[in-house]
Amino acid sequence: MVVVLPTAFSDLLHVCQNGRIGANAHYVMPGPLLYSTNNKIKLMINERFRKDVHYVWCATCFDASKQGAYSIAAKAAPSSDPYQIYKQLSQDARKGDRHSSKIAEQRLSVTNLAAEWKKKGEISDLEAEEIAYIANESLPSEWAPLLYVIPFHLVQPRVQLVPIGKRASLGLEYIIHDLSRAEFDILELEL
Amino acid sequence: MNFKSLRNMSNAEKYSVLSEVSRNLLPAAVPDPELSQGAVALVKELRERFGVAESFDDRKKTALLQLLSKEIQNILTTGEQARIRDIRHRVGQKGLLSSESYAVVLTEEYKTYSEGLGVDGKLAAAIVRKPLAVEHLSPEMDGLFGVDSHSLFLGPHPRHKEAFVLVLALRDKDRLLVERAWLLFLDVFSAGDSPLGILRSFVDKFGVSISILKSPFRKFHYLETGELNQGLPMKLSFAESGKSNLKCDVRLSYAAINGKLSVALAFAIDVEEFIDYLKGHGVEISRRLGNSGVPMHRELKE
Repeated sequence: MVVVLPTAFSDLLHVCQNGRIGANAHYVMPGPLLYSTNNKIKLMINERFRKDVHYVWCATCFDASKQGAYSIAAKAAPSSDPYQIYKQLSQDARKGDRHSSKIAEQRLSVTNLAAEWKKKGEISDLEAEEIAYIANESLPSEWAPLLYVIPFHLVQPRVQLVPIGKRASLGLEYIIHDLSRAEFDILELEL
Repeated sequence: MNFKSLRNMSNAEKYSVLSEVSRNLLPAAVPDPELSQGAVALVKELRERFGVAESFDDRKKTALLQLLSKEIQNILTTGEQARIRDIRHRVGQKGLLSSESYAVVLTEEYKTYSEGLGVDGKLAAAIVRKPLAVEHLSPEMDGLFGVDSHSLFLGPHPRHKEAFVLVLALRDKDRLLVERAWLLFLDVFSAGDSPLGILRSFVDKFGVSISILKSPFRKFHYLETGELNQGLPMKLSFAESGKSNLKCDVRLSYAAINGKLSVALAFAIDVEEFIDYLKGHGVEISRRLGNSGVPMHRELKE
């Protein structure tokens, strides 16, 4: 007899394991692609200061609102849905909105990362200063979003499911710590 | 900004508290189950300063996020103006400022070699500020130090169909020194080419082969090194052009350090051939070559 678990339940089962997706995980596997909304500044910083290694959060679908009502992918919160992030960032960057909370979040996130990387000795003091300068002084238009499309099979052993307690919603979110530039394509969308 | 709650803390302690508070404000971050004493004090101070009891509205949240980000930047950089200016210069030299953030300067080189060939200075500067595509060449990323850093900008020409302007500029801290601008049509390059690819295609079509340091004659030299003996051994190939004298626009960007020659970029354009091409496309040429005391283009004889 085959027992089909509701996806949310099987997701919870998986979270009870170790958070890492492996070939034998009792888990509904992500589709063939993962999607991650980033921005031009982050791409440039990772290229120039991180030897082109990218730390990304990603999802199994681009737009949660286009998923079936009972799909776990439909449960992504706007703050973690690649489409919603893309749309907001795109609007704010295009308008040059200096009061954009989305851009302010990105500035703080990158500045924080610079301090973290410096603390861990991954970048020099001079590089940390430069990243912080870029993060705080760059124009809103430079934060224009980019969509990373990541073939799942290339990154499968390194994809980590974010435990449910650390996610914004029930929707599945993943982290890849060391995505290389050869492992994803970049799209720019007119929204 | 001086936070009362961060006074008497070392920079490491300040950063730790600011980072903790930041993590709890960012959406895709892991909230800490319990805030430290320092973070609680900072949140309290922020609430008082922003005049909020529980949650922040969007505008106040933006101001708060910017404030925290600046505060972390100040810890990293000391916040002194001279230091900030120095950082800006370094960032600019690396090509990491936005095009709009650089000061654009039209050089004498630009006036000598590019003015009057279908692109005016105003258009060249406008394309640098708002390019369709930009490529900052970074020789240091390829292990070549001490040489010039160039940037290439591409933009549409407002008056000619299927025509683009390629601008070559030198980066000098937070300034872009425009050295050349060429009006090119789509018969020289493909629409999907990068700005560096377009420069290669342009030089392939209108360039004269040159040899540097006895290397085989080639039209386009990019990021090359070699031993330097006496003078600068650069030769042009007249045989290939079939001409006994050439009016050339020569751009040789190099550095000679400790007997080593590092070439960032070198090419020589046959200006007469390029002008014929522009005329063939109906471009009005508002200058003549070599008609003044100072030659507008280097006249080279075999």
